[in-house]
Amino acid sequence: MNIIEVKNLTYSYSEEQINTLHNVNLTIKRGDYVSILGHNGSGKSTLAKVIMGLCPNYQGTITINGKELNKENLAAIRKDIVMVFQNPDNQFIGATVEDDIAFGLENAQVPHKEMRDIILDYANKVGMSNYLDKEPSNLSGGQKQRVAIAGVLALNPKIIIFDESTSMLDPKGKKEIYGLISLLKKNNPDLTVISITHDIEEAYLSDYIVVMNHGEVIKEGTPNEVLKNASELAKQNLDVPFQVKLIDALNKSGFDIKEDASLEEVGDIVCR
Amino acid sequence: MDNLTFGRYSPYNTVVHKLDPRNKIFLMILFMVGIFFQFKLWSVSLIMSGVYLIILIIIMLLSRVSFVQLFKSLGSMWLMVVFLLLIYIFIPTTTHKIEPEAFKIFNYAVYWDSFCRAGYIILRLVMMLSLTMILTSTTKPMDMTYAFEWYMTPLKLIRFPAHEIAMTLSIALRFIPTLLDETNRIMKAQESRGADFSHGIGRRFRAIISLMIPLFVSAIDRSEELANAMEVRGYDPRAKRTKYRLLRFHFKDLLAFVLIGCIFAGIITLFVFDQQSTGGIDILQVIFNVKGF
Repeated sequence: MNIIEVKNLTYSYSEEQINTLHNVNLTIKRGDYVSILGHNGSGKSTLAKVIMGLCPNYQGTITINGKELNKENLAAIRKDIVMVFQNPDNQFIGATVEDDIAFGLENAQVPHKEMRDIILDYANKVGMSNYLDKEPSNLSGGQKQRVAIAGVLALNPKIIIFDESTSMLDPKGKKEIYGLISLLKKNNPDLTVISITHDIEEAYLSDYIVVMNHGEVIKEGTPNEVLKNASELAKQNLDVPFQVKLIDALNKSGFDIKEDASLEEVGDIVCR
Repeated sequence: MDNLTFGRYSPYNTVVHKLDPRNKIFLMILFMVGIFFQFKLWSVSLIMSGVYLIILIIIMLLSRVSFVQLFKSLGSMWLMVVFLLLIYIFIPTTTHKIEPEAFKIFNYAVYWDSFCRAGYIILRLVMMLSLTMILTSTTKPMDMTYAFEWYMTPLKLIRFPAHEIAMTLSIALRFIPTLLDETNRIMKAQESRGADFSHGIGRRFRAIISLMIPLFVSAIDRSEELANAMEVRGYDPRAKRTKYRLLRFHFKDLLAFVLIGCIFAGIITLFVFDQQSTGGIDILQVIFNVKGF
């Protein structure tokens, strides 16, 4: 079942400018892990913001979990869909870790008595339960992002959008967040995850990939369908995943390996 | 950045730390009002100052506020001390309670009285300063904003945006360290491009412009992203919200309230009688049978 349907979406930040998004059509299935891929300025972050209802005055229709996105439905839709932003500092609202997780709960009018347990539970899920009274200046970027994830998870959303949430983190922080996302998916298969990224290795982990360029969707499909052609990816200014590069290079030097072979299969063929 | 340490919250676990911030703010204001009562007789004012000082020192010891830090921050008050002295010396008063002349500058008589008055004002300012320091170093900034919000609640009746102001305050407090980091980073970046933050007023001024503009731009960018993050988590300033942090008035709050309240009730009564009597109440005469001045 489709949880997000975007039809003929066109959007521009100001009247004179060319469209940041141009006639975008997109459907996302419930429980999928979708990556939206594109280089800088391709409109992928804008798409996420429009879906979140942060940019009104767009043309086209957006339906989220059966409700059309408009002024009346906005509050209800915000209960289903949340977003984790890029900069770990700019989304830390509370003074300490627990206050930050509590912020969304306070807005959702969760009774005071229940809050403590919920906060402990979600801090545990992201591995931050030992840092509850720490201030953001004492945390690393990866830890701050984990707190942000706990903060939005506590709202019990159906969809989480990660807007380049790992792009400001060091490799260790990135790894932690990827691990956390896949753990979340494993524990809650119904959760829809949309990851906006230009990190092709991360996109390779997802179920479905949407490639954007100049505000349009230029390609979509499973990772193997989308990422198999190294030269075409390079044309879109995107990196080529290591695995695709490897197979490409091996085929050029005389091997005959299928494009969607896994790393183990590649190993078997080479060692034969 | 080192002079920002004055009155910074120090995380001890003392009785004063555990008091309700609303209570602390109220008692501090009470104390400040008391400090600025001027009695008719010098001796009485001095005795009362002594009483305040003793109470202050007891509270400071209880709350483990460092005296060293207080004295360090007093060092920056010297300009004010000089200024006050000049004012009291050169503003002529007709009545000098403490009569003898100290010395003459070009036939202008300087009285000991001027020094005493200036000293008295400075003593009171120092007491005010230590009071605020006790408050800020025993109360988390966030608790302070909650207390302010509580005090502003009645103003909501006239549509005063109490909650919004408290939220703005708490976000400002939250972003102070972040923006300080940013300032340091921009300063280093501009220095590496040749900006000079340490020599000459003209150069320093130009360098500061090269610091302020990027800082403002980044702060505005941050605020937009923060606003988005708050909206995504369902924040609506007009909607009803529950609270994670509840302020609780405990038994020890009641105790502190009654204790300090009683002391100041006494002081206020004394002050009222002092103002109504013709020559002022002479405590020295009453207790020790010595005439006060």
